[in-house]
Amino acid sequence: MIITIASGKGGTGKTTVASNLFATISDRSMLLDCDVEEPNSKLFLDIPLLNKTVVSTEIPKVDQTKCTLCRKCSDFCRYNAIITLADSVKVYSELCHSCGGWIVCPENAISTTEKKIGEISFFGDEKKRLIQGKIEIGVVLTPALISKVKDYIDDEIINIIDAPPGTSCPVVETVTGSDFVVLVTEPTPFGLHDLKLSIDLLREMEISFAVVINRAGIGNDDVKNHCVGENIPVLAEIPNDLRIAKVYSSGKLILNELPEYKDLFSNLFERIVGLV
Amino acid sequence: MRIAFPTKGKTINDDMEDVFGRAEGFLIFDTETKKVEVIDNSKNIVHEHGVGIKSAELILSYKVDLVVSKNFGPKAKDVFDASSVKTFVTQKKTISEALTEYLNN
Amino acid sequence: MKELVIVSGKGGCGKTSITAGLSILSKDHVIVDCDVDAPNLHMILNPSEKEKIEFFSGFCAKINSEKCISCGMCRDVCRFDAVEITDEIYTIDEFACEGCGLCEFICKSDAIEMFEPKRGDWFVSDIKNGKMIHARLGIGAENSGRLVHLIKNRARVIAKNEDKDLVIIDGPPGIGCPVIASISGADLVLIVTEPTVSGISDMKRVYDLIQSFKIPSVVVINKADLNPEMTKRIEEFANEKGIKIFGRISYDESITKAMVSGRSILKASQKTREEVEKIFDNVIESI
Repeated sequence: MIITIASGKGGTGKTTVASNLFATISDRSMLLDCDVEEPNSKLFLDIPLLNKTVVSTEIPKVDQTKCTLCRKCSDFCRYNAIITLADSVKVYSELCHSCGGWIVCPENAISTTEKKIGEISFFGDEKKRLIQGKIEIGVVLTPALISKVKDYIDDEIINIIDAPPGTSCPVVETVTGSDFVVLVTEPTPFGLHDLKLSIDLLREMEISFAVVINRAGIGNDDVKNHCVGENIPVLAEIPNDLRIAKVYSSGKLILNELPEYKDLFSNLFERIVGLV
Repeated sequence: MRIAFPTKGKTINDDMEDVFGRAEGFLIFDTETKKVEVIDNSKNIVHEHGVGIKSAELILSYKVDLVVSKNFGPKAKDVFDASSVKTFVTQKKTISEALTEYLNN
Repeated sequence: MKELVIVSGKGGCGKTSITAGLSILSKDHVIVDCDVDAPNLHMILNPSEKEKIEFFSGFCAKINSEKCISCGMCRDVCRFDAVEITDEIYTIDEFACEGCGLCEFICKSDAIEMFEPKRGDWFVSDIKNGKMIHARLGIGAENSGRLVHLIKNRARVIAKNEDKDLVIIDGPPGIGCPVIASISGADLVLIVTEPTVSGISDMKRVYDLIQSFKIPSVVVINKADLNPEMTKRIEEFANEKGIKIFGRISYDESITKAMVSGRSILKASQKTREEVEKIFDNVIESI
């Protein structure tokens, strides 16, 4: 089973929900941090690093002795990653999407080489398993790295995925294949506005989802009313409690520091299972 | 010598554009024949990334010796350096002012 | 003309609230909401739309089923798993297609065509003290880096033509291509962070990105009194890197309450207002 925790707006408590939900059922689950631009789940979980693997992608490499400067490769490349100069062909790896387009070369002058796009780290002990993707700074291939992290999904257990915020391509890549998505939002106009964008995306992708309201009580009832009106279940409401903000700021789990919220997360899990 | 300038204009009295890579067009001036040639770059500037590279590649295909601009992005500069095309940075407003400045140096 | 960009690395740090505060305090200026994936600034600044421009970008493949002979070549070469088959009919998953055009190249029966899809709209609007440029992307639309570039360019043109001295840019979260597009060409980047472990971690990553472009940056600490130990860590980082701290905003629920009722951070409390004013003064002084 794959449960993805997402949010239209950043900073609504997505990682809080993902890490606490994971800690609630860590004996049966694994956490995958697909927010590869800013992977933060690990900050809340005290799990030792087991090993790391570098994720690379193929980029073209031109054999200048075979190249006839025919321009077919540079005319083909829609990302401007390969360019024909006066007497050679040059590859700009930071622009390359690794599409495989080098096969257009009629002279067989292009082979491939590897380029690092990020890292995947494996954390684990007897009880918990966390897999985290982290993109190299300045690299544009976020979806490619997310896809590699998702290769470690274990069908035998529950996979909890911490998604990137927003509704653009990395989010689409992350939620694809999920059995269920939990959208974390805040009861504020910003929260509602961005929640609607996420709802539109998930409906378009035909993925079932429900909502968790964080900092409940700070704003108004518009988010709740919207969910009722749209027939979207609200699975949990995490109250606006300054103690939670403080626990979060120190990188600790609500579950451990404020045990009165334990039931909230186990109930949340039960409700998700009931809907899948 | 053939010299290219980023510009929307058609004559050497026109203004240069501020950014090399996103220029709508280029004007090439031949110092020997005094002829002016105008190239359209609008196809290249719609790209999200690598516009400087693509604009530089276009200029290379017109066999110029020098490019004069108010600035060059790192990748465009790289393309010119790799192809032994000289670059000259100016703060002048019009093409003719920049041309005079270069020729006087 | 000077360009100020506000970023945060992490979302939800109060970046947009602070940006709106700075905008309201500014004289005649142009403001751009580059957080095109989840734009919020318009909810505080209430722009009135004057011009709407459709945004087409990137490429996407389309298979003509009349010409397709179901040979499967396109599916074999596609590295993005964008070619789908249902009952032997080949189609393109537009969400997955990266627009590289390799399928078009490989197709022997000329059945694939690349088209430029509509990704959204962008707007030029009036606000009380200037112009605002903002955008709305379609569902799951990508390519926001190019859109950021487009709207920023328009802002520069407006600023130039109308003699406005300041362009304020509300940047997107993260460190990806829209962020790179937002900060390129900036005179100053203001990093909004909060004293939380995630806030600090993300601030460092976005700082490294800004450094790689050699653009000057400064820090603002939001919710500064939430966790004094973490605030100290931010200050130590700033000290070590020689980054100026342009201000601190205290944790105050009235900031959220102001936002809920559609008012700006300046209307939250007198203390908050003074804190934002101090940031504004520091910004104006330095650029």
